[in-house]
Order: sequence, then C-alpha cells, then structure tokens
Amino acid sequence: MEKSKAIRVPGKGEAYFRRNIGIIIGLIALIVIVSLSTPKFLTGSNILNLLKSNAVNAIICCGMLLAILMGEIDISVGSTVGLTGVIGAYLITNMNAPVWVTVIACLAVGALIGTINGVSISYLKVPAFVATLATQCIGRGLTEIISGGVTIRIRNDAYTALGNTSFGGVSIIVLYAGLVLILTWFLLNRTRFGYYIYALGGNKTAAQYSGVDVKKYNMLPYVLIGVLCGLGGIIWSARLGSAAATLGNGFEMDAIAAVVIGGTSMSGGVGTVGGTFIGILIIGVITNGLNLMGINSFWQSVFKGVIIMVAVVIDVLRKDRAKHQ
Amino acid sequence: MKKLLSVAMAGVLALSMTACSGSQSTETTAAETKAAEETSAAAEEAVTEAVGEEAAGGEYTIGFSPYTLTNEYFTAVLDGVQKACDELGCELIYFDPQNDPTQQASQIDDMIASGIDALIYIPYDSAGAHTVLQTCKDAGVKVINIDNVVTEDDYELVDGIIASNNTQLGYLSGQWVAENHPDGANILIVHLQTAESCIINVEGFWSGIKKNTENPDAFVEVQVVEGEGSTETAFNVVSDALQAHDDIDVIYCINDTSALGAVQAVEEAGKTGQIDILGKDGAPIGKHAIKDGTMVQTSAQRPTYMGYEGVKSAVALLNGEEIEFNVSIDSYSITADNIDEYDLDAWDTLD
Repeated sequence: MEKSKAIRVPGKGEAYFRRNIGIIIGLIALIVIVSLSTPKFLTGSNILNLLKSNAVNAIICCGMLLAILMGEIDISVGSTVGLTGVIGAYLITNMNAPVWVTVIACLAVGALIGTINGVSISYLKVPAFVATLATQCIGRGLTEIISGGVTIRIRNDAYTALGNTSFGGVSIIVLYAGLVLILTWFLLNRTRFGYYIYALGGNKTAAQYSGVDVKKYNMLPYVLIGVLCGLGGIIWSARLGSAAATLGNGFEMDAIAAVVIGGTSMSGGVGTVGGTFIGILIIGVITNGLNLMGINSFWQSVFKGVIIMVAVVIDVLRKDRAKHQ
Repeated sequence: MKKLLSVAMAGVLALSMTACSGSQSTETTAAETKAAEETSAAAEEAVTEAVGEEAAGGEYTIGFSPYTLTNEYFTAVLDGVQKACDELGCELIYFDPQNDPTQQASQIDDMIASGIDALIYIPYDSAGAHTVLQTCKDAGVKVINIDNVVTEDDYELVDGIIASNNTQLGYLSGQWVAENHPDGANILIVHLQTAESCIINVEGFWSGIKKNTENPDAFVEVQVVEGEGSTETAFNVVSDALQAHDDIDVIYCINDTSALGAVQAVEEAGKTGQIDILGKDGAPIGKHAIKDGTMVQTSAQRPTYMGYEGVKSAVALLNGEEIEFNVSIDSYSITADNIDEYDLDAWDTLD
C-alpha cells in the first residue's frame, strides 16, 4: 500500500489551491475577460443560468473522472444519456408508466450499459476505448429504434418537475449536480473503493500484488458511470419535456475536456473532484461567455480545443518535472 | 424485432443477388422492363417480401433512397412513396442508408441490380451524387431527385426534381412577424449554419419581413445562435442569448425541433408569452406546440406529398409522358388561427 499512498493526492485547503493554482488562475482570468467584455455576465441570473447549463455535464464528468483516474476512458456516456432519456420519455408517454418506475428503469438501463462496459473491460480485457465505442454504437442504435426517429413529447407534470423545479431561484438540477460532486468527492477521498480507484490507475500490478480485487474494482466504477448517465438522461428529458434520438450527442467530449482541463492525468492515478469542478466551470464560462458576446459557435470549438491542448501540455510538463525531481 | 430482422435479411439478400442479376439490370430500360422483371422476378420477390412490402404485381419497380429512416421527416416521405406505389400498382424497394453517403451509393447499386425502373432519390451529399446519377443513367434507371436538390451541373443526369420552396418557408414566417409586430421587433435567429437550405430559409425570413412592412429598419437581428437543429443545443444557446439580451421579441428557429428547445428556454427564463417563437417544418411536435400556445407559427414542409408526387412523376416518365422538370412545392403557414384544420399527429396530407 506504500506505493498507492505516494500517488494519493491531498484533498484539502491549501494543498487544493496549490495543486490547482494554474487552472484557478485560468478560470479567474477568463471570468475577468468575459466580465469586461459583457456586463451581462456577472449577474445573478446569468450565474444561475451558467450553473444550470453545466449541471448535467458536471454529473457526467464525475463518472468520466472515475474512468480516467483508472487510466481508461468511457466514450459511451453521451449515447447512454440519449438512450436513457428516450427510454424515460417512452415509458412515461407511450406506456403511461408511473414516475418512480420510469426513474428506476432509466437508472437500471444506465447501470446495465455500465455493467456491460465494466465486464468487457475488466474481465474480458477489452481496451476501454473499444469496449465503450461498441456500447456507444449499440446505445445510439437502440435510441433510434425506440424513438423511431421521432421526438417524443412528455406531458407528465410530475416527471418534468424532476428537471424544472427550483428552490429560491436555484434550479433542482444544480442541486443534483452539487450532490453528485460531493458524493464523488466522498467516494474518492473517504472510502476504500476510492482508494482502490487511485491505486488501479497508479499501478495496476502493484495494486494486484497488494491484494486488491483488481477486476471487481475496475468494473464497479463503470456501473456507477452508467447510473450517472441514467440520471443525466432523466434530467434532460424532464427538463426539455421531450426526448429525441440526438439527445446526448457529443456529451463525452465535453466531459473528457472538463476532466482533463481539471488536471486529471490521462494515464491515470492523478486527479481530483475539485480540479474537475474547475474544469467544468472553465468549459461553462467559455461557452456561456462567447454566447453572451455573440461570437459564432464554431469559434467556441476552436477555443475549447486550444484550452484542452494547453491543459494536456501542462500535465505532460508537470510529469516530466516530477520525474526529474 | 421482426422488422429489424427482415430489413437485415433484405440487405443480405440484396448483397448476395448483386452478383447474379447485375448483368441483366444494365440492359434494363423502360421499354424492356417486362423482360427484365421476369428474369429477376424471383430475386425481387425475395427482397420486397423481406422489406415488408406486398408484391403488388404492378408494372414498375420503384427504388427509394432517403438520408435515413430513423427520422420522422423521411419516414413521412416514405409514407407518400408507399401510398403512390400502392395506388399505381408499383413494387417498392428501399433501404436505410443511415446518413452515410457511401452506404447510400452501394444500396442504390443493389437496387439497380435487383431491377428497379426508377429511383426516388434524396442524396445525402448533394455535391457527391454525380457517380450515383451516372450509374443510374447507364443502367437506364429514371431518377426523380426530391427534397435535397443535386448541384446544377448534375441537372442533366436527373429526370425530374421536386423540392420544398425554401425561400417561401422562411418568407411565410417573416410575413407573420411583420404583420404581428407592426412597430418592429428584436429578433433572435436559431440557425443551422451548415445547411444550405436553412441559409435560404433565413434569407427568405428577412425578405418576408421587409416586403410586408413599411418600416424595415425597426426589425433588428439581435443575434444569430447555432442550434444545430437539436432541442438541447437550442435550449442552451437560447438560454444564454436570453441572458445577453432582455429585449428579444421574436425567436425564429430553422426547424420545429430546435424551436422546442427555445420554448423551454423561454419558459425557464420566465418569459413565456412575452416572446413569439416561430419554427419550420409543420412537424407533429411543432403543431402540438402551436395548439398548446407555446409556438406561434410554423411553415409547413410537405414530405408525404413530396414522396407521393415523386413516384407519380416517375411512373409518368416511365409511361412516356412529359413531366415538369423542376417542381417547387408550395408551403403554407400554420398558426393558432388555422391549427384546428390540421391533423396534429401527421406531417401533411395528400390533398
């Protein structure tokens, strides 16, 4: 266990700021630039809007963080959000299912996809990228079949309330995201399970020799990712009051981007929920800020790409320096 | 499941048949249809049965190739194609190209091999349709190009064109805005900037405003946002735009799907009723939204009619009749005033 302790990241106060100082400065710089360009940015209603817009991404990011911490990836997340969203809409509208049944069904479908990913990656030794590419295709296909290519309308107020309620101006979606972030932090920093995830990403062989059930703990995070995607599907379909087969397209890219910008190493073992949170905010501020400034969305892609590149280069340089020390 | 299986079977069958009927189909012309049909009759029956069509025993075999069959717009086109084939006693063969131009091309090769007389063609990539069209011409297959029109250089390779009037689709919405906002309006455009047809829609929208108002300067474009034609993207960009501008009066969306996102964004911003949302297509979701009062206007496309007319033109051509080469289908405006005249759950009707 000595080895895993060495790669374990301190999670509190000063250490948090020191570790994330680069991206915190980046975020503040972005906020300053955007606020100077448009007075609409730093208003209460826009901040709430920004948090709300990025809430589902935050939930997906918590899942993506687990995969990347293990040195792997899950590119099926967007497709699973789409599949569960459409299944939710289908159950509630076409089958008149009760809300609780629909919610459980969506989460269960997410968990099922996650289990398929996890089993093929950890037990069948399929590379994560390939395994989740396969489930991504399967999910997209099933989504098209279930929806029949038609946008399904939802006219069940109890269901849409799951995404449209707010408490004192704060949307329920933001609360979901906050809760998921806190639980993920707790999982990674306060439980044996979280400890093992870092250990797996740091050095799988070492983890195995220290007696960790590597296969089991490599699989379980994917089940969690699936459940989080199911939650994402429920939230989007409830919030839009409809679900189409295109739901969730490209979500994996935003999630990977935020996690990587947040200082998580693509080779695993290094990364925090706090860093990811800042990564999410950076992506969110870029999108929201450029929208407010009226800059064409194609440029947003370019900016996001540049920032991801910078984040990865910093990660590589940092690792180099650590090696030399 | 059964449908899936049969489509899969049809694909396998069609593939396996390419080899045996290829040489015959190259000779297939309108005049020789009968002969060609007889020789490959067994194969065709296998395909059409697998696809789920009833062999009508009619004169001609019609092929249909859209972008995809998992999009309600294209299934509405298919409905029209199917209806016309039933009425005119034609056999119908179709596959799902799944938004892939290379698959579309090879499926059309398979259709030619199985002896189609005419093809109702919606090229996924209008600029890249040349090879497919040349293959059809060489094989003597008549091509009616519908919906997404091929480039002008390829006009000589098609036998007829039927498409929506994209300018008019936008124009009708612009006209509504001019008439209902006589004092002018601040307008947000939810675009799909990568689609040629949507660019024409938006140009039509502005000309619809300018030609119906005495005061064109009072209509201001506050912002153009990219909604990607999708509900959730439109929702996000409209939410942001509502933060940036608190003076928006009208939101024009290039399809009903993205208009649905605008509706939700406006509702969350607490501005329901203060902003008029216009869509395009006359899709069932759009009509429901107008009925619910969340959208004010949509300009209808007529996919079912388009498919129906496509087959009718093809059969007329095969019968040696003259047809109009380039047909533009008129749109109509759907608003709260006339919504009750339409079937909310269908795209369009044939009358």
